[in-house]
Amino acid sequence: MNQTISVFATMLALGAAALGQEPGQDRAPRRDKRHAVVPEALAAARQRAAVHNKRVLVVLWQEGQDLAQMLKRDRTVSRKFLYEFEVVQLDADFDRSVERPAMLVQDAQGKTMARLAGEAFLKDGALRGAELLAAVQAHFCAPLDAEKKLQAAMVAAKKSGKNILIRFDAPW
Amino acid sequence: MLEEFLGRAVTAPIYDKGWVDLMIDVDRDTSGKAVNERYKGARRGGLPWVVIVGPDGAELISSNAQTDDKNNGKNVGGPVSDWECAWFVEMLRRTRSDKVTEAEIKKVAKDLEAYATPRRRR
Repeated sequence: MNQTISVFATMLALGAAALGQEPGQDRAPRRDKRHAVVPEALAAARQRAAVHNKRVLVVLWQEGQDLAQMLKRDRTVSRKFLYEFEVVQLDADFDRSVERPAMLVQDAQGKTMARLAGEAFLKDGALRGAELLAAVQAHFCAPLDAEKKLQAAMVAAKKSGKNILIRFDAPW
Repeated sequence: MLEEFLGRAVTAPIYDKGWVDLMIDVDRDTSGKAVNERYKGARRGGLPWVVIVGPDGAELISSNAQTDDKNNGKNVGGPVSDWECAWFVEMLRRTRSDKVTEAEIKKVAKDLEAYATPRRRR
């Protein structure tokens, strides 16, 4: 929980790069160890994943195969992925070392937990949802306890002299 | 939508200065539903639903608007319309500590107006 609060605070302090950005605003791109520049959409997905206790599913796109759309349409994975992942589809320039199509399961800090070859989950142009779900579910975040989150927020509020704004929400 | 607004460049530093942010997922967090029900009780509205509490956890104000018109009691949710934005800003105004000035609340209000205007139904 402390991590959730501090990550969100960091996000706010940084101006929440992509989340609140107006079209045309110019911001310096982020960098990390693995990639010279972290695409804005990926940075935003990581921030949301940190706040919502999710993983990031990076979909590495290949021309002619809209894998991200397939994930949305497949009934086996669509709802589960909505709950467990921030899905971000990146173009061909991101991480050329990975053969397309592919999916990367990353944590909110950008650490890759699994690399999945897209071809392994496609058959005759259709997604094999059950196999994909089986391959990724070990990487889902463990659920957090709302009572413990509240207690941690109260400790943070006492320490800082702030009140707590509680946002009750759901993935849908 | 609310999270996106609170992360905007103008609002984020002011919000961070004045409030601890806590997101509770009623579907995914263990006890999320129970905590939501404990605070919300029988009040109207779906999600998102917002409550601002003191450091002791006691409620100070909620997103169920307190107005003298037809909107009284309605949940502002992710504020977009005029009255929703007005109530959300009022929530912040009434719960701001001395770390946040009235001038900063006005900045947030202006930023919310800029954010919400293109999202309003025409």
